[in-house]
Amino acid sequence: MNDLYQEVILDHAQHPRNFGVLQSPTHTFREMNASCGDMVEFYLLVQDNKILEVKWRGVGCAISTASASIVSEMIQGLSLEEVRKLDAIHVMKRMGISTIAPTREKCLMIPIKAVKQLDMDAK
Amino acid sequence: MNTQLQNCRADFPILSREIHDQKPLVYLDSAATSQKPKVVLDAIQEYYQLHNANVHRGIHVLGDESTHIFHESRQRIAQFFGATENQLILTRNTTEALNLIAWGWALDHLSEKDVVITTEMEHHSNFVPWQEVCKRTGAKFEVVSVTQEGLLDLQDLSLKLHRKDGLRVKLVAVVHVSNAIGTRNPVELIAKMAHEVGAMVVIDGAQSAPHLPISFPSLGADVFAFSGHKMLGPMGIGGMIVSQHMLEQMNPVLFGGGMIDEVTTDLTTYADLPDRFIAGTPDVAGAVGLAKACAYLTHLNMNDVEQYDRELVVYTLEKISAVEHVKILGSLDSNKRVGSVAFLLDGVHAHDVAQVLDSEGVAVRSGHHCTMPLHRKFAWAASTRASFSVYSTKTDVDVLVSGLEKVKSVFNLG
Repeated sequence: MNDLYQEVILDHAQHPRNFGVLQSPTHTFREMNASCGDMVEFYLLVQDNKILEVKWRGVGCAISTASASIVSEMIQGLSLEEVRKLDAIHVMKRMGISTIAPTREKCLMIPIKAVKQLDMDAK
Repeated sequence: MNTQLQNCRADFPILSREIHDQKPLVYLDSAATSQKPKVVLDAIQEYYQLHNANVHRGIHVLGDESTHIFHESRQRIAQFFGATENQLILTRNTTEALNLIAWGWALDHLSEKDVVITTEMEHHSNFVPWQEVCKRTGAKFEVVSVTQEGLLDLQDLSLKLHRKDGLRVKLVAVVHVSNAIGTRNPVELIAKMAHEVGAMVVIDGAQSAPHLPISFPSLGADVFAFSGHKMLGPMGIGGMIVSQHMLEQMNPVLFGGGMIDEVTTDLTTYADLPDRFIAGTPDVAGAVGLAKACAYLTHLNMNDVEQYDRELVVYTLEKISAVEHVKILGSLDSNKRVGSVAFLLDGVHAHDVAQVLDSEGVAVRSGHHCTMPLHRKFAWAASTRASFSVYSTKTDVDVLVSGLEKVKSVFNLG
């Protein structure tokens, strides 16, 4: 646990970045984890294969909130090909953790799964 | 409290485990599954080491022993609930038992003219099967409200039973003790109210069987379902006690070996009640383990077990309500609760509460506890639950409370 609640995670969980909604997004993706009541919704403005703007909102635990906040920062300015490559390892690296317990994996993955819908959308 | 109960902690080998750098394990997740005493583990091993053979088949020593042991186990399990072997149907768990009623009875007895009543505080296993069987038969699915205090609204139940729309209430399915908020429902009264309009009564006893003395005849219900693993027995075995009235109206759902009388290419006739509901090789070792758990609980004395649970609930309500930023879910009246105390911590998600508590060696449950309608009604995203069994102690609760202080410090809650 002492490894899990790193300063980065707590900072993002308590001060989530890019929290809010976009007025006219080109894409809106929602992802839920019914088993714990977590929900995130991502609003993206995509132009010429590039993510110009990102906002998100949702409810969840510190891990899913921090993950969403970090993902929202990471995908800004990325192309669809780059979003395709985004995975849990990248997010965990930014969080400063090297492993995650299987019971918390879903929390970490919800925001990643949400923005990966862009990938499916594009195919 | 008697001395057996007082000293029973030593009977559970797992409780001497240390976790996270030699912190003693504080197991407060018994409502999800209880730990098992050594006598139960030994009984299962002894069955496989000395007596294993299929039941009702081989004419040989092991076959005879196994058959004898299986029947003796069934008798003991039935007796624990004040019933007889021919009223017991063994299943894998409560969920399977409730589904057996849904698909073995309700499916053939419901139409558009009928109503099934359940409640907002049900576990999904006593909610979704009825919702689904109503969808397939066209019967109306009604859900009784829960009051702000976390109790069943009996006035609402009465209104739904005594209908003005000409529909008949065929079944009332209600939980004895809520797994999420601990509410103990007056099931004897509910059974009486439901029987007055001719409805069958199904009780989900998963959370009451581990803590309360149960006498099936005094409940007055048609079905009482339970899970072995929540009452010190192994996982994979559970069952239900069923009234003769219900048994006679049920049809088998699983077909095959063991449940037949005579099979011809034209026609198959089925075994006597209740054997026709047990198809295939049964979990004999599971039944042996559950029977041993029943014997163990009887030895501890279920009246004392109930009394001790109340002591723990009173103590927990008192200690947790003194923690700032904590809101207790359900009734604050300990006479109306059994087995667990769930709560919210302001501004910290239940998963994070559980994770920090785990680092202190405390195992609790976080989430919606398979009661999404209840959580949605009160707009709880998720809650944290501490739940007890015979081996739980006030010291466990003290460690939980100091763990909550740590949660607050990690998340900067004053």
